[in-house]
Amino acid sequence: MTNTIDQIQNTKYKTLNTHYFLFSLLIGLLGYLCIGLFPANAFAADFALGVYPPILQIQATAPTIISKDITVVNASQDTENVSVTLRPFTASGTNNGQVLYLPVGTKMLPDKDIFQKVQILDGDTPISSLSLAPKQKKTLTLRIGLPKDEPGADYYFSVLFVSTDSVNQDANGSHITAGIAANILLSIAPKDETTGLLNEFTTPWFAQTAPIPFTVSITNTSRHFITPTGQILIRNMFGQLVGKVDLLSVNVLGNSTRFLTSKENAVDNNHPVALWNKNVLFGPYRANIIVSLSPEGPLFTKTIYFFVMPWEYLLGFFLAVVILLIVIERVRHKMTHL
Amino acid sequence: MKNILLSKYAFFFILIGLLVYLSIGLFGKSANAFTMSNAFYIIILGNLNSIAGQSSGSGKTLTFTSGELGAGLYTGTNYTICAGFYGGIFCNKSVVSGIFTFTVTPTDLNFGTVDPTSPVSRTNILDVLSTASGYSVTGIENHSLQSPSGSLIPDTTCDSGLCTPSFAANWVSNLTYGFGYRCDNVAQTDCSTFTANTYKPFANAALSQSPQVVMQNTSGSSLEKQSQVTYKVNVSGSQLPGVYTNTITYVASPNF
Repeated sequence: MTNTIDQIQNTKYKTLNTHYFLFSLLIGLLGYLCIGLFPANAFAADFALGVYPPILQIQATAPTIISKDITVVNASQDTENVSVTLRPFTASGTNNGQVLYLPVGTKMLPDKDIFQKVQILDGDTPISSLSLAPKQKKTLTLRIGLPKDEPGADYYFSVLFVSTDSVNQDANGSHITAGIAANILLSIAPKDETTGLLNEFTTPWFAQTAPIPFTVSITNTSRHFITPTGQILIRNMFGQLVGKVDLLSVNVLGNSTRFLTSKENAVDNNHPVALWNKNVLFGPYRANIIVSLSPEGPLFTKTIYFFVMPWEYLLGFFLAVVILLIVIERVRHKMTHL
Repeated sequence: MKNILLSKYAFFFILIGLLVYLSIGLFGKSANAFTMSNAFYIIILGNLNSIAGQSSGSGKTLTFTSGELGAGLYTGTNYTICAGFYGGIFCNKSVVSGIFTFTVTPTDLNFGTVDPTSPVSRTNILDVLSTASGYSVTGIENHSLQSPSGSLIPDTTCDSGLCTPSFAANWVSNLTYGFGYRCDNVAQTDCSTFTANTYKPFANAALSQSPQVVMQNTSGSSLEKQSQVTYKVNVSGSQLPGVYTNTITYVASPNF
């Protein structure tokens, strides 16, 4: 009897087992299918380069040999093969410090062969390409040898590290190559006299609240890059000094224009502006700018005026006028009926 | 009996395991092995000086700040270098120095089989960290999508026929053919202006066009800027069969 019951139970468990097995198999297959069809994105950092320092401003007098380290870091999990090239640039038309690369092969003047005097060294070996292992940091040397007869001039160029990895594209698609740049501003003495102009100093004539944006742009008409310094002084209707905005000293390339900004690095109407922040503003103000294009000058000053009226005040003023008009009308109405 | 129970539990555990596996597969967070600035910082800071200050020697002055590799004022015979600092030749410590990194993930975009009038889209992420200055990322393709036999999928001109490498326009019609892209902000707002459903073609080096700005900012920030670029391709029924490929080059440049 017991044996029979055991047999029945065994048969029952076997059947259950088969069901569990089939069910598990089904779930497993579904899981596999789902993961295959809807995979969670598993990104790999295919290109991840950093460069330090990103800018070098060099003041040189020939003859000299300039030497400075540039470090490149490959932060990706993959080996990165990059080409190392020099590419001249100029200021882009946006006047905000963006570079505009000149076409490949463009010769810079007056020394058309200046790039032959610039080398990127790995140790003592000039290189035009580089292989960076995953997570590798490589320190290269920028070497510029200027002979005695090197003419005075400015040269602006980038050291470009551009991926050269190519893939065998056997399916419809795009392969992305990427690069990163470090900018070099090379200024060789003797320099011409620093000249330029305060191209623009404006602000909206009416504002409701702070901050007040000042548009300041400088045109450098000399052949060398300059780093103007300056500030904006703001006075209220009583002539009291109520604000001061220090302008950031940025590079303005030779024969170019650039907007100057304050430490907030704010943008208004798609261009950088200097900001004056103050809690409560009311009434007319006078802003006076003083800019020096170099430690030796020239100096430029200009004065503009603006008016600040918060909208709460405007609303109050408007309501007061409306109430006054109503009172006048009612008084006039009563007078007429007397 | 014991064996049967054991195998029953075994199957139960397998089931639970499969369910967990399934849950992770379906609802798990994307495993973004994105090498962000932290990775850069770790690599860079590995052997940096951990102090800030100024040292002087005969004919040379070195100013350095912790965490800013190679930044400072260097003086040699007949030259001075202000390295890494934005703010001119004065190179003072009141002006921040720069860290500049660029990440692209992934770098291979496979459109798979492209059926006529069924647009295919793929995306990747551009990530920039520029602490001290503004920057720009420009993009350019070597040529339109091209097959080995020389057939082209033309660059899109969008629904209106008016979009260009410098001007985006709507592209929603499945009867508009070509290859184009759009940029959407993921972190910060550095994408060039693309409104909803607008695309533009890449600048084309084969046509001697200049690279166009894809991402940009006029000021530095300690925040990473991330943008998602969506690549879209659509072909007509008369498109010749083949494998169509091209190479797109992004270059990230710090402002001067």
